[in-house]
Amino acid sequence: MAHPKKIVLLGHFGVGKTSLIRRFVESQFSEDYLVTVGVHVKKKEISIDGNNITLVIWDIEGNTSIDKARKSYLLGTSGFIYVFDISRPETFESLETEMKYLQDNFENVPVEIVGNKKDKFGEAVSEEFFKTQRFENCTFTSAKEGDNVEDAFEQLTRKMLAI
Amino acid sequence: MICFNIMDQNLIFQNILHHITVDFNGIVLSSNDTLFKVNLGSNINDFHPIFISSIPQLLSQEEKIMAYPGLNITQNSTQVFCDITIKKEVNFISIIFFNFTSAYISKQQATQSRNEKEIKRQLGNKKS
Repeated sequence: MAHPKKIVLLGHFGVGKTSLIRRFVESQFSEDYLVTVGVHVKKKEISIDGNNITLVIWDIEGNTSIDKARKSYLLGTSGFIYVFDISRPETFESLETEMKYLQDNFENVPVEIVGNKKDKFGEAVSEEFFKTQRFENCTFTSAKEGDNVEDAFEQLTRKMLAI
Repeated sequence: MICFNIMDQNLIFQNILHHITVDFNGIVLSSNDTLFKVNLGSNINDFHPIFISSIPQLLSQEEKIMAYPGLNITQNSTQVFCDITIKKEVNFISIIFFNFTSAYISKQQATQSRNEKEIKRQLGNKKS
């Protein structure tokens, strides 16, 4: 198996972690929200710059803060994707605190910050709000429409390979 | 005093507990096949991708036991929720699956209801 890398998706419930994984691994999407309990693990082989990588993607139950996640799920992680929902401020109001927690507890593990549900920009969500410095390192995705989902995983994979 | 012999234990744990042993390369050495069909000589990574990262992690650390609650396993369209324990023995790795599907489904239903209400409240607050 080529270079297995463990990726864990983090973030509040209902932000779209499972949908992002389903879109990336199976190219599918469902509007129905079904809560994740425990952990689902999926595998996807990708190729970046001639390197074949096996991504082992852990979809864990949503938590309002990372310190509530089960420690065994996070052990041995090569990269994190932290997901928030652009239409629910509660899911990104503690973003800085969450990033600090990851830096303190998972030094040298790269993180990709993803603002999901970008298909809602213009509806009731101002795109301008997310163009500020606070969100300059975020990738905005839509699991529903497939926008930037592959990019988010590939960007994280490049960061993991660079270490 | 109640004593259980091996036969009683097999009856008690039927459909609840599945035990697999693998070598340090993940090759299946034994399986009691109570919950799933796992072929001897196959690689445990092919059975479930959780082992792709868990077994190397276990082999690289001092701690000899790792536990993962609530693992979703789908085989032949049947979904099962298990708490799994992986233990490093001297010459092999022992993997125990405890079937808690009913409990996790109950938890899922309760959490679903709670989360949907909270999401609706958050989106409602935003609009007002």
